[in-house]
Amino acid sequence: MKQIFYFIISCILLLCTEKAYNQEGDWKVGGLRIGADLSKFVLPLFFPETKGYEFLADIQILDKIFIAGEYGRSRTELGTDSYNFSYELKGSYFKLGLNKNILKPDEITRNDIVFFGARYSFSALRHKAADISITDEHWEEVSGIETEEISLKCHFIDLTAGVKTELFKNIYMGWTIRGMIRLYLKSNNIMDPYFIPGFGKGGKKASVGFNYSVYYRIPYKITAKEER
Amino acid sequence: MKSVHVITAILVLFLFSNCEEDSQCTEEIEISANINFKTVSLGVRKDTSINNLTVIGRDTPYYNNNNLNSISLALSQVSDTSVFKFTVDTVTDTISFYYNREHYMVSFECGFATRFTLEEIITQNKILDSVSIIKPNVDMSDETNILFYY
Repeated sequence: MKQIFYFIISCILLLCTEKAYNQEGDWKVGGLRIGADLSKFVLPLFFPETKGYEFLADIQILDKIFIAGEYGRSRTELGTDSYNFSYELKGSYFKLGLNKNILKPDEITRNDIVFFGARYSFSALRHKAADISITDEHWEEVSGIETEEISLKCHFIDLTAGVKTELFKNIYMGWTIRGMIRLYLKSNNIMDPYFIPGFGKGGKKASVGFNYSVYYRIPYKITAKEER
Repeated sequence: MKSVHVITAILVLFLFSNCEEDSQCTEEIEISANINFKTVSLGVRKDTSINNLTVIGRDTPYYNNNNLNSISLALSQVSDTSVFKFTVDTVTDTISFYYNREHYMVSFECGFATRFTLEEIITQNKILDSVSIIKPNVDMSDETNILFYY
């Protein structure tokens, strides 16, 4: 919980700094962009064990600052052909943070953005192994046993960079690269997860991810001029 | 805009450096109860070795050696009891190990294994004087779990 607190404080500080130093820093709430990650439909062709989807959204709140978030679900299934047990994992994740557009005012055409950002991310999963067999040289072999369904939670930070370009009116395409650092994984000593949804391989403390997404932007904006 | 390209290139490199092949199981999984033989004479405890010792568990010979001062016994993974027959010369002692079992995953490549928590060891005292459990958790470590007083 401490990490969530620090992250929210950091976001508020970043917003205040941006607001204080940006002369055009009036609140401009609007232009909600909602998208889906196309890469999640292509990845199962290369990694058939994991399937999932991810929705992305961002909304402008200052000239160069956007609140951004992602929500996704994924499912991993491993068969006894590759391992000496079968395995199933289901989970979902939620990410929330800010993006900053780094284009200079003279470079901004239409509503394109090139951004850096950060997210606080939370992933919850349940996993289970079955058809477990263990060889034994001396005694009877173990076969056909299964674990209980184990629930795990993981907190992590995403650092993002990417581009969103307007292809047609209000239709955007873009990509995001994200470096992720694991903060906390509540696990048990029976089994580590194969995969943490939204993060990556279960045994790692850092991971990278990629989105290639298409968005629709709702053309609605409120501009609040402040008196100076 | 230049900085964007540089940072993107670094991130893409990081992305590719993160890819790695699934590895094979390289770990040797051996979980056995490690036993040391001791004698006590005039109140002093010291290491000892046993000659002509044969150890049989579930009809499989584990040891048939001279001068053994320590042995490692794999316990049954499907039962909470393992019974071994210790024979020295012509005397046979039946020793029963009682324990709790837990199956756990070593890694995805290596699969599952069983670790044990020793509860009690009962001997007929035909060969052994007494038994003491010094580390009840039987796992992949080489540490001594049990002392057999001979």
